[in-house]
Amino acid sequence: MSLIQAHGLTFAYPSVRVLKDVAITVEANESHVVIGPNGAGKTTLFKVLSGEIFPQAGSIRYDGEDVTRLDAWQRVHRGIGRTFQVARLFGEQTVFNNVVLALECRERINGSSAGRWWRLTPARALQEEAMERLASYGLDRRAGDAAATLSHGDKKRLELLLTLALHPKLIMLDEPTAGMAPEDRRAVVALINRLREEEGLTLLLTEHDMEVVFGLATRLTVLNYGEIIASGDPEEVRRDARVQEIYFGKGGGHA
Amino acid sequence: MLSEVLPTALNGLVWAMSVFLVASGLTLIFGILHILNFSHGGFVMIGAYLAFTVTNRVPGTASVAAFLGIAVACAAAVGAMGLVVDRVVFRRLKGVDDSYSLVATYALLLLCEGAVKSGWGGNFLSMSPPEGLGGALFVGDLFVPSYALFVIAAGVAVYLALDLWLHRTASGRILKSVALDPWMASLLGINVTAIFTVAVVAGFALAGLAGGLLAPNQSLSPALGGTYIIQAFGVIIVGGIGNVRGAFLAAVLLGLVDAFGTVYVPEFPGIFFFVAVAVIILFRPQGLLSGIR
Amino acid sequence: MPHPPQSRSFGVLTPLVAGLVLAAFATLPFWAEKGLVFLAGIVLVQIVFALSFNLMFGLTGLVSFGQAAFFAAGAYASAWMARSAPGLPFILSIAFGAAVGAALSFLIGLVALRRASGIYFAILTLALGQLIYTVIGKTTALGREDGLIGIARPVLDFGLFRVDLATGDRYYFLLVVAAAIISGALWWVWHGSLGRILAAIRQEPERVRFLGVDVRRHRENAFLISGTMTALAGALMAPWSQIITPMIAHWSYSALPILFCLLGGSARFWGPAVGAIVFAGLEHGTRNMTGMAELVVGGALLLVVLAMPGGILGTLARLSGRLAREGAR
Repeated sequence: MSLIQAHGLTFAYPSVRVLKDVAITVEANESHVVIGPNGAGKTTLFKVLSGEIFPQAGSIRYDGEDVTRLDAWQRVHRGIGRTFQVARLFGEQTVFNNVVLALECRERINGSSAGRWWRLTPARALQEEAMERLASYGLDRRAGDAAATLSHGDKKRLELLLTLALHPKLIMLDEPTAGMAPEDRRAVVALINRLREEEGLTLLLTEHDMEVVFGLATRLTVLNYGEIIASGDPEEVRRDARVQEIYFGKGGGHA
Repeated sequence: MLSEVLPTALNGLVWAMSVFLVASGLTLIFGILHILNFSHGGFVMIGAYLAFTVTNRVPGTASVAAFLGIAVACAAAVGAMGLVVDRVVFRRLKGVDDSYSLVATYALLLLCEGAVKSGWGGNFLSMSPPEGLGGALFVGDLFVPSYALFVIAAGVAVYLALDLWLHRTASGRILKSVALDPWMASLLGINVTAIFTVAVVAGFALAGLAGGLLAPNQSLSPALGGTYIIQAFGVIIVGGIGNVRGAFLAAVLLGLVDAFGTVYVPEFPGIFFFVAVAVIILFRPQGLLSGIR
Repeated sequence: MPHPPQSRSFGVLTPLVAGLVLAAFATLPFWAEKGLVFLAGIVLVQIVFALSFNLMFGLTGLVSFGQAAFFAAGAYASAWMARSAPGLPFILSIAFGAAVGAALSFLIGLVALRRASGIYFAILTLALGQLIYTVIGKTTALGREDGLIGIARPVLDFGLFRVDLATGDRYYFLLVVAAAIISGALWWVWHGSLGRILAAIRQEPERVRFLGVDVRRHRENAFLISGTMTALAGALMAPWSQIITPMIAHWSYSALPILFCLLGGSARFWGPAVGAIVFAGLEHGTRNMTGMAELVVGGALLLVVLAMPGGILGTLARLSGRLAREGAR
């Protein structure tokens, strides 16, 4: 059974139809990459699948359950995580506090005492876990700095750290390597592959950089003008005539 | 039955058009600058007080022509104030957090109230309608005050003029494009800062005009600013913030609801306005229409 | 494994100053004249009013322009209850005032927080607050425009002994104790787990949403706590001023907590308290001039927003940060 089964997804702003009857599935433990030219509707698709906005038509099933009308925070409870194109962090807080907060949110979801709203200071155990996680990402040196002072790449990694702290089953990553230098990009690809292979995560992502796409995709879907053009094995999709036309008909090897 | 319904409906429409006159400038400024000008009601009030003073001090201003002329003069005067407010306050609010800019315009409203109190005192003042509008007409069986008809006509006229300007003229289209995407508009060579100033002055001028036209409508007091702004808020939030057409529709809807409601529950006049706003917002939070229109 | 950094320095300076201020308030009747004691009581109430308002403003990031409605609801409800049921223990009529405030903030929150927009929230709290003002002003049982006068300071009956709060400055000491307790509770909310989530919601509501938090529910809860504490402040004030009029529900009265927060600084918990104390002097000096109050309050608000967004405490913090950096060179 697919982890996500969506079909008939339609979304339109007052004058523009962004998604037209889109159907997409995400299988467990796959690394499913969605690509398409700018304005194809990738981010809107993510917003609809993650619960940030609701489609005007269509349905989404997650792990067998109909989640179409559930808000994003309810889908997070069921194991979906999301990172944003521009990393959203609590810039005024220290890096350490960002992680502690994510852990407190996890505990609140679990209903444990560490997550109770009347607690004054965060539980000792959570604070230690936060430092461990930061250390594993090499961010422990910056633990006391305001999150807004991190470099672009570090911000995105911190955001990924926050998302993973909730033990999700599926993560949706919106352009995880956007704006990064090449070494950072390769590190992210390695990290994502490790997450899938060692921790059994399922990943759905959008990307523009083809090297990144083919470095980690186990399935590729191409979106154009709100419609699915092709979906399946990355190499086959790459050779599909319609896909070639979209990308190479207009010139350039970049999405 | 009809003789009971019509006067109530008429009251509702008079109220609706007077609130629309107030709300039109407010929703225009918000639609283009995304600043919610709490002080808008205060400037309508200032326009009304100015009209009152000029009419009382200058002889020979009892005619309809003079009345209209004074209203236009008030529009100009308050529009000029808008120029100052734009310079001193609105420009500094660019990029400022929403909550701070709300407080800033709220502070302006307090200043308006204080200015009126110190300038004219706290007592109630009243201004009679101009000669020619002071009487009443017989429409069938009904006794309709001419001034009431004038207010309705004025509201419709202002709406049509605004609608025409925004949708049919080049300058109106420029205004709309700046409202939709200021960055893009500036790339196309439009002087966005100047357009913002135009929008502010237009909005304030509408406030002054409303004040001048509505001065005979009620007794003037420093509390008027607050009353106007709350009614205008209700109308624009139900109509969809930034949407002139929506404001017009919402004004009519709320005016009729409140007028008929007050007939049935006269102990708490005006309560149906709030109830209607709350109910509509609960079921349709984005308002009736949306987007800058 | 490295040591976690001090997550929030509960430094020494803040509790020290707060303690000194509390001591000053508590001992005031022994060294100040009657008029000042009365003013101090009002300021204590306004401190609680401002601190509870700041839960929404500084912490959660939403401006409520109708906060005065809760203050008035608490004042009127408890005063009316005390008058209607003279035998009722004081604490119960106060509790009734708080309950009415809670119910109101629950209902208003339902409508005003429907959309995640601060502007929407501002407009609706203003309008619904004004509705409360209108209803109070037209209700005969609440004295209509004249309000309620001659509100008695109660006698506290503890069974074994009784404390008559009407004599001397006894009610003032109740205000000191109550203000300290309520401020303490608000301090706990601000610095605790709920406060952390609210601060996060202010900065990045979408991120918090994707950490599995029902953002709207938390805002509603914050509003509920804020409204209830404000109502408590109102309920405590009624027997102190002994007269309440509908003006305490008017939207212009809602300006006061906003001003205190901006003046003192809304980012730090005690900022509004600083603002309330500083402003007490200004207000006291201008109370007799018509129109002056609005001009002063409006002018001060505008000035602070445009020139000093961090308020007094924020400016002090920036200055001390700058001094620290320069000292380190």
